[in-house]
Amino acid sequence: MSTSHTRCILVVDDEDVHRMLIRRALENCLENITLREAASVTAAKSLLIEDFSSYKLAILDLNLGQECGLSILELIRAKRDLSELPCLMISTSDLPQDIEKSYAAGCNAYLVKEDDPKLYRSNLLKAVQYFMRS
Amino acid sequence: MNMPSPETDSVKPNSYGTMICITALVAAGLAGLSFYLLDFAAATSLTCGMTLGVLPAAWFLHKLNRCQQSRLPLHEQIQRQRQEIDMLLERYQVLTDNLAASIIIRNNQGTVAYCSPYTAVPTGYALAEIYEAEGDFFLEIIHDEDRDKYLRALKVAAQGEAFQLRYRFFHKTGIEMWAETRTVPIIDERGEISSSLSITLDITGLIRRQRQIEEKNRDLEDFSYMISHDLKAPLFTIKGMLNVIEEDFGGQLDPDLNEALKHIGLAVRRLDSLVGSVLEYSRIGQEDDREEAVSLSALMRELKQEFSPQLAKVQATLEIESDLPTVVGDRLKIYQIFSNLIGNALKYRSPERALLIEVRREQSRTDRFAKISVKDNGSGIPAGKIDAIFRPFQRSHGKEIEGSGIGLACVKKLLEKLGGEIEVKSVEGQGSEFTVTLRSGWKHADTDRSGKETSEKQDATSF
Repeated sequence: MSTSHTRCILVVDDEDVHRMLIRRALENCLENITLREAASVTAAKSLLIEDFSSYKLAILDLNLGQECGLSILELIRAKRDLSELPCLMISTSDLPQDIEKSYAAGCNAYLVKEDDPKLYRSNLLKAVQYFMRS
Repeated sequence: MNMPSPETDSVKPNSYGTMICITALVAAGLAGLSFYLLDFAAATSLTCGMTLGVLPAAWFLHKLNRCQQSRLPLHEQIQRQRQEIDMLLERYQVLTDNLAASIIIRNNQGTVAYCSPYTAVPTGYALAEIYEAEGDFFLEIIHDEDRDKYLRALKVAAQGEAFQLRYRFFHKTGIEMWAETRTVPIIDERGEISSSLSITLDITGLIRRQRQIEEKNRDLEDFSYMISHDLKAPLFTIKGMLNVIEEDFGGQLDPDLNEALKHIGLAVRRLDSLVGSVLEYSRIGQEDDREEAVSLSALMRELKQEFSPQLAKVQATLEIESDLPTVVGDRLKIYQIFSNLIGNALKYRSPERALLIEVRREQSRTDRFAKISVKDNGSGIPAGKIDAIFRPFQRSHGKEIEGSGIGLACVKKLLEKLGGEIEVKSVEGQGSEFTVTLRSGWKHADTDRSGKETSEKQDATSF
């Protein structure tokens, strides 16, 4: 279990490779940050409950196989101790309805997994730096 | 000097005036009835309704006036007026008998006092069965869930107000049908409500079509969702891993492996483009239409600016006529259409000559539509492939020119959404000319060639 002064980012994505790409994008760029990864809604909820105060940002994939990343977002917004946690939704989808429902559920930003992996990495890094600074 | 006949002498001014008033009232009543009838018939032709409804009454009153002024003996005047009334009644009989709508007059107890013959068609019941029913026949066949609102509406009519209502009922065979009815109270000479007049249209076809469209839209949404998530996610994985390999082992790979990875990369790019195009095509139908005036001159200036680097790169010229019309529709969609056509001209240019693209206003048969042509001197389309170019994934050229084969299908679909159309003329080796027709007036049922209203109108069989 992490100590209370640890700064963590929760990363939830059901695709191992996608989580790995996030890890690669953020490693060496953010000091004293621990990434805590989950591949399902249940695993993400366990991680959140375990040590909710250490999280500074949640990166949530919208589509988690048969599950939906929005259910984690809704849990975060409903829980008093977590409701202020910045949440970054990520998805391969740029459908307006996906973006709209994510903002309606309370996400702080929506990032499309761009066709160009390098562009995605750069956008992701900028967004994470912004939220970690604030 | 003409001597007045005994009949004329016996005419009392009061009775003559009363007779004229009654006749005028009958005429006005008939004119009123025709107005109601034709108000509904307006679903198909308001103009026709006005002609049929108002003109006979006006004609009748004109004739009556002439009779008044004439010096014909009274019995002849009455006979003429009777003939004219009979003729008008016959005309209205023909109208009510043949109008593809149900006309029903109910007395204050709700019993059917008159029912036009066409009522038998959508209900499946003989007129005798409708007349013999105790109380309101339609309460017997109405859908349970719509009965209450039907009764509430009848109460409204009983209080002297008109109402319009959409409800379900059952055909005699048990098939569920949809009706849209308009009911107005009939006020007698004492100013009291004597009965009500209902005119009802069968909208079953329209409702079925609406449901089909809704279902199709849901399918399209599911399809878009599947592409956006389930197809794009594995593609993103492959691209991500190719990038990781390139970053981590780029300089150390065996040349054969490097070559293999390059081919994987190209295939993924093609697949990516195809997935993007399919998604774009499937999304066209889902977005809401905007209605705005779009200056094609301004739009073309923007497009010219956007394409200027590509035009300069291949030394192509884009000539735009200065006086292009203003059209009506969704600006973004119109922009996509012309962007696609200019992009295609650039893509399929001839290697033998410098590309010239000309955008011109063409003569339109009606001022409700504007025609604009986009003509190029490119490689043209082979004669055998012209018919297929607007279908998705049909390509007139080989794989040497990159593309997913969805561009012109998107253009056609966008134009269908806008109520326009596209035609093409092309000679292989000489070039192509695409003529786009767009609305130059605001959307209206009779100006919409392929829009929803027109389809709905055609599907709404009346009874």
